[in-house]
Amino acid sequence: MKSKKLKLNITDIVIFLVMIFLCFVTLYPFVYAISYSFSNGHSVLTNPVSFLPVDFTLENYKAVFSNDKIARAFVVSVMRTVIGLSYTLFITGTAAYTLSKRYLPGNRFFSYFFIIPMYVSGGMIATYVNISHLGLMNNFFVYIFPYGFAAYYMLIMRTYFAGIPISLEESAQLDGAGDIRIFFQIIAPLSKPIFATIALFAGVMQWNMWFDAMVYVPRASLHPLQLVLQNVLKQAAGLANMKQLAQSGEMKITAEAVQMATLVVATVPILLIYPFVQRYFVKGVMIGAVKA
Amino acid sequence: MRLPSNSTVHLRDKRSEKINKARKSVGISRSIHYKNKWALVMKHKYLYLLFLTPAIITALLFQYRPMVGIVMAFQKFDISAGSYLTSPFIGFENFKMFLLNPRFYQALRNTLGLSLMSLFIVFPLPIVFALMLNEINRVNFKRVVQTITYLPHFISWVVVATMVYKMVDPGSGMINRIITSLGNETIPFMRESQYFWSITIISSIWKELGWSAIIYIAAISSIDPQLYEAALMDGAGRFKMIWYITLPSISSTIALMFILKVSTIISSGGLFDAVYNLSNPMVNEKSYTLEMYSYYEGIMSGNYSYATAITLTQSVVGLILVIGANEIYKKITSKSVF
Repeated sequence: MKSKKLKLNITDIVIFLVMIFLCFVTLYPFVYAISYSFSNGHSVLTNPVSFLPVDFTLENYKAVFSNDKIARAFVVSVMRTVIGLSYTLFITGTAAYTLSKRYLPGNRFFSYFFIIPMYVSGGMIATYVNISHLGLMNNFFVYIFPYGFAAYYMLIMRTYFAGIPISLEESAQLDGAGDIRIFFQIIAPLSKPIFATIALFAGVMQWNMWFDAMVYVPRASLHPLQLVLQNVLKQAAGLANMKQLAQSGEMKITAEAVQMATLVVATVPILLIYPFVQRYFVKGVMIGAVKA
Repeated sequence: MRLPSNSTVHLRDKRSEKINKARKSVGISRSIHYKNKWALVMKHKYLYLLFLTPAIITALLFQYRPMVGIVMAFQKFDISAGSYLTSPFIGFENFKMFLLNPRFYQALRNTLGLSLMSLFIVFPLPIVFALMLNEINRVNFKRVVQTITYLPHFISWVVVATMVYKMVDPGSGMINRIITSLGNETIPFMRESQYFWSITIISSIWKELGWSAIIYIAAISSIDPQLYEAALMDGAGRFKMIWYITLPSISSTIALMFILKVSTIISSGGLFDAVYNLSNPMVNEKSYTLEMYSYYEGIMSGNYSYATAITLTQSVVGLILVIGANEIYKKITSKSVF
């Protein structure tokens, strides 16, 4: 809308400075945490981290990866993310495909059926009692089954499927392919972008989730990374575990430095994939916003 | 709920537009071939049986089944005894109990404090941010700013809270080092309850500012450029353009977001994750919100009925708020956002 390059005036400069400030403030905690995680924990006590690591060391990461609890939590996090997002894609994707066929009887009814829970829910306590009644307490599948269907993802995927030319399906039908084969052999390969978008939404949600583990899974061996990190922050036992870890290692390590290394491990997978997938995310949110 | 129709057009894939055209030119819907509905269902029985049924089961088990649990609010429910069917009904006893409990009013005060700050301080910022971003002419710079400011949205509150604790640490935290270098005393931010609301609000701004602006950026980008050209001819400056063109054009988006935000007044502005992770026993006085209250009462102490009564009251009040806000908006503008 402002195609002409205007001369920089005071407003431009103010906006520029505000934006630079915002970017700095956003990135600084990450820089700090990463630098701290590569620092000698004892040197940091006298010479705090500003931007760069103090007395560079890899000991903190060695301690993190040699710790059974954290290594196991990492595996749990990876498993719940991979299995969870595949499960969600399958259950929600197939339903979205069926609902994208508006001419099928019951389409309106099922659409309402799926959308109502977006606005009405039983709440935290009733959900907890429900999970307990279903016998999913202390079970890995409590990370998977409840997230199988999400109305929000369904709306985004349905919009996409509805945009695929019907003629493609019709020609396959003439060749004698059934609905199931049409979906897996024709629709799914054409829908890679939308599957990628939803996979990322669901994956990030799974990776970051801690509440379900805290509430439904007392057994520590099934705890994901986020919960282990939270225990360090909120519970004396978690911090004691870190202290013990620090003492078992060389003298370079402190509980705080190991905590920072754990934090980086819990964040880096997202930082790594984020720049490549950001545009998909934004597009997904916009479709969702228009639909909702 | 919908955005103005022009933005819908803008957001749609160019690809799907082409496809829709193609479909129109074909001009058929397969339903013509099937007069009989049942025959249509049978033809697509695998879609119903294999594709729709798993989702229906999931929704029934994990979304509808908990709704039945709301009856607990009117019962004396014991989880070890099992079912809602056998638990005795006690009417509004649970509601009476929490209304007489001073802990409830403390939680209500904290909830309202946080949500009002969230409504009046956090809510306008993404709009200002989107407007400022729109004034940047250099596309690459704009893209970099967007990429960076969206990032914290994807980080969990556990990680954010851990970073906040490190940033405000009295010994090594950057904030306190700045404070001391200016010649002031260090402030134990996470040990004194008076700072808790501000820290939570500032952290939530840090985390969500960029991301919440997306919807406004989308609305702004769908404004007809001719409006600006005409204004430029009339000699309007950039602030006049913002005031008379940009803001009115995105006002319905703002209204929609505002009404949705109003509905969270009774649920701490949706900040449970933030409050839970940032809180510690020393700041309980300001961090004990209604969600924390029902979490501790219900899940930690096992008073399921009591806690359900609280969450049910919250949902009902939230619904009333959203309907009320929409009614007021209708009265003022004779439009509805829903």
